[in-house]
Amino acid sequence: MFIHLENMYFTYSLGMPFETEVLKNINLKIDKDEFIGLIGHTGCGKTTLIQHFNGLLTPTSGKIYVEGVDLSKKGVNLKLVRQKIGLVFQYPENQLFEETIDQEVSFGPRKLGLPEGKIKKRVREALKMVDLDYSLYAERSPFSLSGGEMRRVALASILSIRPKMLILDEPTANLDPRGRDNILYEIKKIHNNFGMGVVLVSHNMEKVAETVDRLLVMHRGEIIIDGAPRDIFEKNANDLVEMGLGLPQVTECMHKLKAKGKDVYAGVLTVDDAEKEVLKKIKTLKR
Amino acid sequence: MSILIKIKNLNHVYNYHKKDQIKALDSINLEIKNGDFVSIIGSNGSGKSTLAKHLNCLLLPTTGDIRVDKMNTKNKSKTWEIRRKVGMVFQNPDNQIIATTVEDDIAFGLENVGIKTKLMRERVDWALEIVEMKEYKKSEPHLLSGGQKQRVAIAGAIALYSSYLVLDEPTAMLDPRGRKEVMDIVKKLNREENITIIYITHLMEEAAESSRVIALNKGKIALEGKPEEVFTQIEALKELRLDVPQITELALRLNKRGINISPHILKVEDMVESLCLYI
Repeated sequence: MFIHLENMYFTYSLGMPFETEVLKNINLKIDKDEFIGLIGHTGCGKTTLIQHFNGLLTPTSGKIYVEGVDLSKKGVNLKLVRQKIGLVFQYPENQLFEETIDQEVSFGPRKLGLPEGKIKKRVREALKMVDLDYSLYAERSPFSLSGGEMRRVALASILSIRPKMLILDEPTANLDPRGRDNILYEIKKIHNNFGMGVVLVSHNMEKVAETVDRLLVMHRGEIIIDGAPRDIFEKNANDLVEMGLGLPQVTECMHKLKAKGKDVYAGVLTVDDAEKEVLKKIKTLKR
Repeated sequence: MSILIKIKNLNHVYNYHKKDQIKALDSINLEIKNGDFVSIIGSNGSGKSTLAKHLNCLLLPTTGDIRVDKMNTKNKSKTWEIRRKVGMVFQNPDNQIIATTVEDDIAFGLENVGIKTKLMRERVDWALEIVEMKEYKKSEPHLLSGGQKQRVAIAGAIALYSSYLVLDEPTAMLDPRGRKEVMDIVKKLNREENITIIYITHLMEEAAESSRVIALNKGKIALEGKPEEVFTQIEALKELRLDVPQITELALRLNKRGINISPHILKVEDMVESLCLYI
């Protein structure tokens, strides 16, 4: 078990007039090679939750273990935890600050005290992971890039620390469709090729559901659904709609057919899925 | 219907007097009529926002002309009248709200144009009523959700009797519920108040709600037509780096497989109805 959360609660401004309970009774186990999507409405506690994963926030009560180590114990080396769990914040391009992309991506490994040779190697490797050619990009200013490219540089500067798990908070927010697809493709590739665990936080149902293997749905500070995307779309469609999360159009279509008494499988995620299901249905009826 | 916004041979070049010129708009010709609901789609850098900013004199053409109700945007004496007529709402709700209560925020614009207090109160109430935010009149804006903030921003624009509303990706930073709130209000303004809407978006489901879609690419109009005409051009849309509504893609694919389903379907309900004939 890579990350383990046990009966975890978190309250902002505890004991103050604006005290708000943000996380309630979170129990969660994440393996180190999983690919997880965390979805939920704005204000449901997604960002607060992931900030616990690497010790940026400490639970009000309950426990978090990372590789078996209790993060609330005195003397825990949080710096080490943060190397293992790389957190990419929302709009990470706002955190870019160096003069060149090379300097930007080498900042992390340099802070780790690695020798220059190793730093160089890691920078090249990290840029390659996000499909940016070192020779073309290294000396350019990060501020001369497009939004999508800036985001990839920000991602590379986390990857150069070589985390075991990558947590991304709304990595596709504000990108155009191609920028969004590119970054999701990079993340999937990093997961597949390097076996890196990924937790993707988003409210973009459609795209996240077709990318991840496991979906966690949060609502008002609790994880209320946990499972494979297709199962969730089949069984919990009403809950998702009620929470205001919406369904992909094709899933909605299948559920509406079902409501009309048609015998179709509603757990479709993509146009491909829906096409297959409809064709299958028509074929069996012809016979 | 009368033509109210007329764009003729519009070109816009950023850094015109410098070395690193960027041509953002390239020979745009466009007419927007009273009561239209036009959506503008296009990938990042295609010129959408640049075009929007020309509609209320935030930018002026490098060459070409824009006329709003026959007033040329280059005519400096008309700038304020054009800005009052063409309200704008931007992407980030937090950058547009300035006052400490919702009603003050909406009154701000009215104060600026010197409207009398009594009328001001009427306008504020009217605008808040339309965007369904009346009960939040005394609320502090920072306690509102993103969707609510955008509705306040819309109220601020329409309170000035604007007849056009330009919305530049107003839902990009909102979650699905916030998106729906904003979209519902925009549709209502168009239908019930006859406000002409120019709506910039990346989301095809939103653009599908409009009466006309314009796709920009590299500063030029690449596709134009009714939603069902534009969204059925799947290959062209993909080339422009744009999404295709899932349901339209499904309709096209089934149609290609020899199933008699119209490839012009844009709405889930229509697809359900068509499929019911087969399964």
